[in-house]
Amino acid sequence: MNQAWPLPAPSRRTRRVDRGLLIGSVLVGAIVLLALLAPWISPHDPLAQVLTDRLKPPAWLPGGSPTYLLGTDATGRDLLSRIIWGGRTSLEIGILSVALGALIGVGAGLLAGYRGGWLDLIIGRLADIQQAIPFLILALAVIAVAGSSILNLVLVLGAGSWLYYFRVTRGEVLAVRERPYIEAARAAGVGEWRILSRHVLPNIAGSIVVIVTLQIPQVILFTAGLTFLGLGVPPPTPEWGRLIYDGRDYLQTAWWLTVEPALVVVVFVLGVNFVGDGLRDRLDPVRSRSGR
Amino acid sequence: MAWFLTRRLLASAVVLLGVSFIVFALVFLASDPVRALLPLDAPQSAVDSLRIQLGFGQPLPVQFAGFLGRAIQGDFGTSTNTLEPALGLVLARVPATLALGLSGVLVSLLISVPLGIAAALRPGSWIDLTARSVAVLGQAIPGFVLGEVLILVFAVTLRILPVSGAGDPSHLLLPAIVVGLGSAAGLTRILRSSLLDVLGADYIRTARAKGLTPRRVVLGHALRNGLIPFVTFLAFDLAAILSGVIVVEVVFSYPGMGQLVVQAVANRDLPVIQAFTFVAALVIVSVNLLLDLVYGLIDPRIRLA
Repeated sequence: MNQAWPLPAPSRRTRRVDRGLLIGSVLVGAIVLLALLAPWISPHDPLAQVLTDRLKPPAWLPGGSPTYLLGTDATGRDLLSRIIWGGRTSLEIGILSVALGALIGVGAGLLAGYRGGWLDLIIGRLADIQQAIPFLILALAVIAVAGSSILNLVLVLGAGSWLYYFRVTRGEVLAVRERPYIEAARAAGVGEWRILSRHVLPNIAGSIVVIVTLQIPQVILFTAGLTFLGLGVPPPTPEWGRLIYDGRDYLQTAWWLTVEPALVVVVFVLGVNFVGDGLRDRLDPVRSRSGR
Repeated sequence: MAWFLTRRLLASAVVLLGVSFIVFALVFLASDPVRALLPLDAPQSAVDSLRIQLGFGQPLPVQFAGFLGRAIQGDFGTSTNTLEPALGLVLARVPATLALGLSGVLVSLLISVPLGIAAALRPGSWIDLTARSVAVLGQAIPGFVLGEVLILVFAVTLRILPVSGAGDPSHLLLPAIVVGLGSAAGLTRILRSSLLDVLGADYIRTARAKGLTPRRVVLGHALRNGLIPFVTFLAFDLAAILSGVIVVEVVFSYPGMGQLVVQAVANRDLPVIQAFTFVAALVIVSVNLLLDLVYGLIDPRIRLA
């Protein structure tokens, strides 16, 4: 009976450093930096095959050599270099498609939420319709016909994710629209576009930044799924999903081919999630006031 | 309640109409749908006669109306691969996919509810961080890798579970774990944050003040209110869960809709893709409708809305 009360005290004012946000930023920062610096820091050409050095284990295992820190794949390509360059491809796809999706979704959400009426109805139903279709199949069908390239992937993934941003933006705009400062701006004769861009958008930017962050790893994982079904980034371009996929034929003999890139993805996804959660807790004024 | 139901049913009908339009439009993805249906070396005369036979000469609205009319009667044409009715092929696979999807959601709930509660009770602590990491881990490993590792460990090395296929519940266990882990992270996060919102509310303080046990406060008061965003998210996530199920079915050679449709995409078997998309949308829309009714059970205030 006399156990410690497990609920957080509601009015704690001290603010601890959010461990998650800190750890997450370091992890994500390191990976992004590696990808950005790929041309200068990757020890080998990610596409160069050295057939005499096939399936070398990582340096710390028996048979490994310091030349190939993380080992080599079935055609003697350096895994570390491929992971570093793969990060470039994966991040490119992730960031570009999320940017495209956010652009469409936030724009549609601003319009639908602020204008309301039939525009809201039509866009909302469009989102409902898209939400009822398993996106993977639509993406597969489109890419099967249009061909798999990084550009096509970005377009398909971007078009597929707009509704997430749309729903959040619309909801936030509805909540913000009737606030006194918006009414004041309207009464002062400020134009609609200016109200949206100067007064509404900054107020909802926080929530959008959070979804954008959380969506990037989703897109990267989704691309990996497409690769598995045969329609991801075409070889030999290194991409995280492709590396993991190529490695799984050697799961029993050369586990590092799968495990190492998979670990990098795990670390990245984990880091992004910590950053996203941390940002959310920090940007949410209601929650940060009570110190959580 | 009746009015609420009518309105929701109408909205669902509109969504299904839109879905059927997209399904119909899929035909035009291929540059020439008639050519796509025929072997590559088919003579021009065969192409022309099939074009007329399929009604591609008519104006688009007429074509769509015709498609819709047939779709309502369950006629999506025959699979270009097996020449069987497309809808029959898809429907035969529905129970297997539904079984996998539902057990996946169950696994997901078994993971996310305890983790979400644990994380919300001590926000910012190591418990919170660990709970969130565990949840995210499941999501961060691509389903096909996790699936193959599980097969390797439990089916090939330990030999305690079957490698692939379907039949008894043991076939369902590994695929369900992979599906469930994929969606557990999002659910944990939502439950954590909605519980955090609720735990600061006045009625929680009241409940504590009147001396209820922590368990009663969390399970009786907080969880019930924190569940609403959770259920919303679950509904929102259904299509994504179905996408996960598709990959998992391919990994485990599990004879569900997903496996069928991936083959159909590879073969450009359009009628099967169309029938699948329509059936999947029907399932998603119906489950959403069902969840709308569940809201009323969780929160009596929503019943009249």
